[in-house]
Amino acid sequence: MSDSAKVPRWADTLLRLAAPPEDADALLEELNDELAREISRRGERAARSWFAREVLRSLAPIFMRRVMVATHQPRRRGIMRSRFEAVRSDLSYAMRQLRRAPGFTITVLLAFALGIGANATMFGIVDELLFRPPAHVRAPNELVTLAAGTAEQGFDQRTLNYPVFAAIRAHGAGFTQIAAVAAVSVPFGRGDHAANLDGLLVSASYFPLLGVAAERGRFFREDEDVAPIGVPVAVISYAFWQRQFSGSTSALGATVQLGDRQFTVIGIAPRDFTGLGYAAPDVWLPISSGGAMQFLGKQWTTQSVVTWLRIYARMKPGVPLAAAAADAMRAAREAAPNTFFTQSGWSFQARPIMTARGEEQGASTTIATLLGAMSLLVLLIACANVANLLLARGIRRRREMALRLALGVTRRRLVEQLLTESVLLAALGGVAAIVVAHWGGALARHLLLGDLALTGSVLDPRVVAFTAFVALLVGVFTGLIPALQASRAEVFSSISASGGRAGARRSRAQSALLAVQAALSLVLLVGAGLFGRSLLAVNAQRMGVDADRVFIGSMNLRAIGRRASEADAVFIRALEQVAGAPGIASAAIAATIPFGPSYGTEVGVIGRDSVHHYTTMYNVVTPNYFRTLGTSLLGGRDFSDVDRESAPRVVVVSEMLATRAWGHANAVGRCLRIGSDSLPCATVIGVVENVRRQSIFEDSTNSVYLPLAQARGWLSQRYIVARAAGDPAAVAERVRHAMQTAAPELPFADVHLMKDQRIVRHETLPFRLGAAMLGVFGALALLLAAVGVYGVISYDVGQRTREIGVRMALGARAADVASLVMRDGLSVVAIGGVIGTGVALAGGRVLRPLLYATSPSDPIVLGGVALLLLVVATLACLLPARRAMRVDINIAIREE
Amino acid sequence: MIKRDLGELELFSLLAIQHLGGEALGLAIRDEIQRRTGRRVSVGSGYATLGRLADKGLVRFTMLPPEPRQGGRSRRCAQLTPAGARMIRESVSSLRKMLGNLAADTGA
Repeated sequence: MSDSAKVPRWADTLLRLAAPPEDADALLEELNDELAREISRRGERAARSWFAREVLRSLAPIFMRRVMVATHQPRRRGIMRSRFEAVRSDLSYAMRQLRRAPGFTITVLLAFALGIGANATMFGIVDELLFRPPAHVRAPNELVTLAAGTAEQGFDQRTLNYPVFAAIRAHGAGFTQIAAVAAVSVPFGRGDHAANLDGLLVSASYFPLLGVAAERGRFFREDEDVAPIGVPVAVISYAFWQRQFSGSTSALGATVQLGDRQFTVIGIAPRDFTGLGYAAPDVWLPISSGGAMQFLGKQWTTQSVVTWLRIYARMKPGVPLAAAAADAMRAAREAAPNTFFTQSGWSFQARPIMTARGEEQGASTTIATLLGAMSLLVLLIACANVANLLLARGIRRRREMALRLALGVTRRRLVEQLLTESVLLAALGGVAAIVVAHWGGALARHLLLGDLALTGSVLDPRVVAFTAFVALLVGVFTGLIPALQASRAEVFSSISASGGRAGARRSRAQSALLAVQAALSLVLLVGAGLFGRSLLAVNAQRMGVDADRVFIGSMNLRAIGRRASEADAVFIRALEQVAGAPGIASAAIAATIPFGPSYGTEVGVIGRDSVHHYTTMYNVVTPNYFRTLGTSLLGGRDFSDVDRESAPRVVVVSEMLATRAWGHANAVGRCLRIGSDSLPCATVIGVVENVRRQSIFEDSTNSVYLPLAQARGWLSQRYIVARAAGDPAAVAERVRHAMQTAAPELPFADVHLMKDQRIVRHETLPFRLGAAMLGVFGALALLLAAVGVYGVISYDVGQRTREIGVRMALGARAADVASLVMRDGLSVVAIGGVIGTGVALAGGRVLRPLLYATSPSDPIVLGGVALLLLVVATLACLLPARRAMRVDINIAIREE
Repeated sequence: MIKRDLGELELFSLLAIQHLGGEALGLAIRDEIQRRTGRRVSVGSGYATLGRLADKGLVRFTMLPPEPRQGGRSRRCAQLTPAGARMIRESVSSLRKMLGNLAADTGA
């Protein structure tokens, strides 16, 4: 066969690692023959790529054969023992080597700790969101939640009502047990010490369904959860027990004021029990006693219009999900034939809670997965970095390797030994990574999941197992190339002293790894830049309100049994107190707020020969509402005290409604009929700019505003809005106190900035998170890459001391030498930068749906990041360049 | 540790060796299988199969001297043992019996 074919070095090594030692030669020869034949058949290039596939395909059977041989033949046992001895001696040798170079060891450990730590952190979060079963729940795989829907619209109707629950409980044959749950905010205490608790209304079957046992006391009995009014008993969370009762056993039997009733504490839930969600409520109350009446009235057990209960059930063994769901729908149709989701075309879906849980955290899950990918990039950079350091070290140890080869150590043993070293490093790095994950995990959870505070530890066994796995992989991955290179040491040239020193220039592999690092950091930084630009664009968007200066205050007066007319008096008194508080520029009362609930109506505009109708949102407000929110008045006037109940009806309309109804003509003074054409005219007295209603990204909607004095009966909900004059953070508590003390015995007044509202936070979350986390990862990557460039270039300068000395002796100036070094380093980074830009442009398409008003190929971001990379690389090259300039000619040449 | 059962690839390999005159290199065996059945066998699985056959005592290996070129290594030649030849006869005959007059239907 042809002599020109030669099995590439990588294949040689891989096969020698995989195959039983005595068969390796024969196998390689067979491959060599076949490669030669394929080259003559297909040509060099095609044959090589065929060959790579062939080798990879063959590794598994060859390795399995090795395992077989090693385990099945008795005479091999001795060899196994000697292998074990070899590993032990490799380990202690590796330890000695690492201890001898503490600087190197620490750098590598840092890179590993950050790279693996970032991954362990993200794995922990993704695991918790998607994979980990809820604590204390027995056989969670048997649990399902019921959602209603149609084939076309999907199954989004996750809340149902009580009649349907009762019917499925009585007739649903597919379930062994079923429970209903509703999340509520429960006013706790009165007056200045009042607070709002997170409560969960549950059927008595809830705790038995989950199979959880009480930490202290007991859970609900069926006879305590009886419609319409149950027994006022409560189960409290472990955290609430610690907070409110300092963990004292006297909590059992104590009474607490919840809403307008006194509840007796009968049980305490186990410490990390969070039900089927991710966060534990403060209290669990029986549905019948926990205020269901307060939001649904006396008919809460029979009304089937409002949907408010989520239903969970345990599957009967052997019953298919679809059959159980169909059965439940039959029962529901019979019990509540008039509910919208029992109409024909609608059906139930029984979804295992393990999948339903992750999907409902939609945005967080997507982002966590994205960040998981990002942390993988960081790990790749860290690996490239460490591989580079190992390469440099390998080149320095070339003489040692050559010597050992000359003394009869096989190349295989050498590779094994070097791999042991990198795996040991990675293992130590993994330990450090656990520490990083412990601290970083808390931070990342806070940023990613916000108030959804996960209670489990970041460091559960799965995270540790994952970390160990990644560390092993990384150890082999980073050690392989350097080990192969080192084992290639040419015996003769390396042993002669001068060859060992002067010949060791940077290898191609090192340059390639450096370029890879530069490219990956650029990709991450471009990602961060794109999210940053999106965030700026989102923030710069005019929403019609100054969301970051305006406070929204609300009090649940209904939950404590106050009637609407009483509520208005309380709110007017609260408004006086808030408006008079120092640091408040202005304040008003409104029936709803942007990003709050919205209410629609029809308005009629009398045209020349017909009445035009428009669907419009409406709100009821007091004077100063627009000034408080920062909504500009485009024409006419604001409401004032003149617009009393007895005065002529007046309204303010949004620009959108004004334009639609009257075109460009001035809307002020026109007549609008609200609700019905037969009602008298309301005169438009002002036009205000459009305000976002439900989403910061929505199109503008028609809006009409009515003065509270003339529209008391229109909407019963009330909010206080207040505008801070100076720093909003300083006055939040003042607003709360002013509201809270407007009357004695008030429930908790919830006060927060408009920008902290759920919708706003939720909608800006991807951009804030993307910019923050990618920024952190990007900075980390840049730092790693800078360390990499610095390490390699300064190592290079060290190796080339003699060459530089000769150049200077021949008349090169210091500046020439410096530019030589800089050019060397920057050219590699520049190549990496170009590759990275290509990758970023290609990968940008993936990000497009996550960006706002920003192109994935934004020239400012790309240019800015490229410039940043260049500046950092220059800085990293500067130090070695300075060292090169100071090379002493005499010393450099005399070294020889 | 001779096992009675024989995998398809093992039987094919034995037959290939017999076609090739009772002894053959790994590459030749794999080529023969591909030529006759169209089935591509990778170096790895060909190697593992021969290894299993050797474990069962159906083939044995002889080493050929290395080629006289730089880096030339010795090749391994697989040889049918008497047990191997017997195994071929037995397997083929039981296959025939099992087929019976199905042979015509299956186009064999």
